Amino acid sequence: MKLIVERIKNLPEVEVLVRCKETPEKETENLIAYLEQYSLNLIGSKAGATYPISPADVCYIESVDDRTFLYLEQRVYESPLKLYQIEELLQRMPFVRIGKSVIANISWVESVRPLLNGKLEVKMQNTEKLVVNRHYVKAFREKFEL
Amino acid sequence: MSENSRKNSSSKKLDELILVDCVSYTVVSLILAFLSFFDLVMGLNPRVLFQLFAVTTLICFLMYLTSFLPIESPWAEMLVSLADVGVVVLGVGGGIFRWFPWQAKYIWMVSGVFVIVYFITYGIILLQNKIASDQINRILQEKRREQK
Repeated sequence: MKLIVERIKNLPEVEVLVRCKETPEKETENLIAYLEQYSLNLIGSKAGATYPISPADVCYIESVDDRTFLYLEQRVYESPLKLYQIEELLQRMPFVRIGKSVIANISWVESVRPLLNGKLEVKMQNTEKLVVNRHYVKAFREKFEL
Repeated sequence: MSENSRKNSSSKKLDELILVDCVSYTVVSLILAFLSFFDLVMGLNPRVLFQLFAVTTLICFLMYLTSFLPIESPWAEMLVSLADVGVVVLGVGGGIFRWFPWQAKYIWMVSGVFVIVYFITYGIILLQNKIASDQINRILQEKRREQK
């Protein structure tokens, strides 16, 4: 892979152009998915103000009582989107649904351990613990390319 | 939920259902073959094998339905799953297929077999999850090492 970095003074926004084969290799696909996290912003609101939030900063997303919350390392924002809309938006990124109402960002996973009832317990880097429901264990493993 | 999400979610659940069905059918067939070898139960014939498949499939379907119950405790969840197995084995196996007479002695024996099958099946799934967890933890460690 050839890497070209152009440093331009006063450029208003970083531009990344990936030139690849029509059907890119797995590594390129992963790279594009990683970059996509930074090219798309989710909207989160808190105390009446709205903020652009990079998906890369989101540890997990949870739907509670028909409201959707974005959990960052320290803060929580509410999203105007439904969980399934966010799931579709982030499907090529390192996000995976781990329960009926939770989507996790696997980049934030610290460690995983099996539970007795066929579920998995995921420890996130912000020390929170999430549970991967039995029905979603396979998808979770696949996200790690297993 | 969108059509795509719904399809993905149903196919994941179906995959798990088929896996549990296959494992439990294999385990119960092996146990019965073993018992039949020593003349402890009636001989296995194609009809019984088809009935066994119907029973294991029905159990998996019932487990799939009860997995939507809002139960938090893993122990309570295990009890509900065991109840799913019990209801089908005793009701369908004993009641409809007449695998055994409805007498306390046989009910205890059959209950023993289904509890063993249940724990072996879940043991295999647990082992699979343990292997997957170890692999994921290894991948995460490698990533962290690369980032340093």
